[in-house]
Amino acid sequence: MGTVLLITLRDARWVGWNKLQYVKTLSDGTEIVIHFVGKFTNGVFDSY
Amino acid sequence: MEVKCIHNTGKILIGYHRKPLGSSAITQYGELKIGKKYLVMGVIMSNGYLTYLIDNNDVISACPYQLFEVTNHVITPNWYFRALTIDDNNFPNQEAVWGYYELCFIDNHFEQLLTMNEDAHRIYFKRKIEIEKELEE
Repeated sequence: MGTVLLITLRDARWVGWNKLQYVKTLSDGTEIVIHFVGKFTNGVFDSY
Repeated sequence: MEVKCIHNTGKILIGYHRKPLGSSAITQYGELKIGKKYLVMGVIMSNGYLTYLIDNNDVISACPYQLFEVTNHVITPNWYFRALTIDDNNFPNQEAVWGYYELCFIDNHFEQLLTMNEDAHRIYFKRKIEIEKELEE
């Protein structure tokens, strides 16, 4: 799983959600950065 | 200030009371390479835990301090400090910030760094070159 970015989503569609980041390094050394949104409920990842 | 990555998963964070939201033993900090040294561009206190602002090539991240050991404790004299309050937009994701001017005093700069804004990256890497030169002297 990725990591939660330390920012507040201000888009009205995503109030209460977090933005996450997952970095994957390919076999040729290329890095891919994936950003996605997720919601935590009681500290547990609930949906994305 | 320079640090060396000694962990790149959330496993080390488990015993700590204050840690990033959602972190677990399987959380991966894919931008970090164990054994690699990073120049710390800022220190951010976030939601009660400390993070170092570092970059791995183009990927700029604020990562928990427990993932690193400090290899050079010298801090550039050109760092600033700002303590945020409940009235600040970025609180509590940022509670206190140590670092270059824009990181401390431009409210959306940190957010733009993490979301890969080109202008913010340009400022970050300009400041990085300045800090590297200072540390060489």
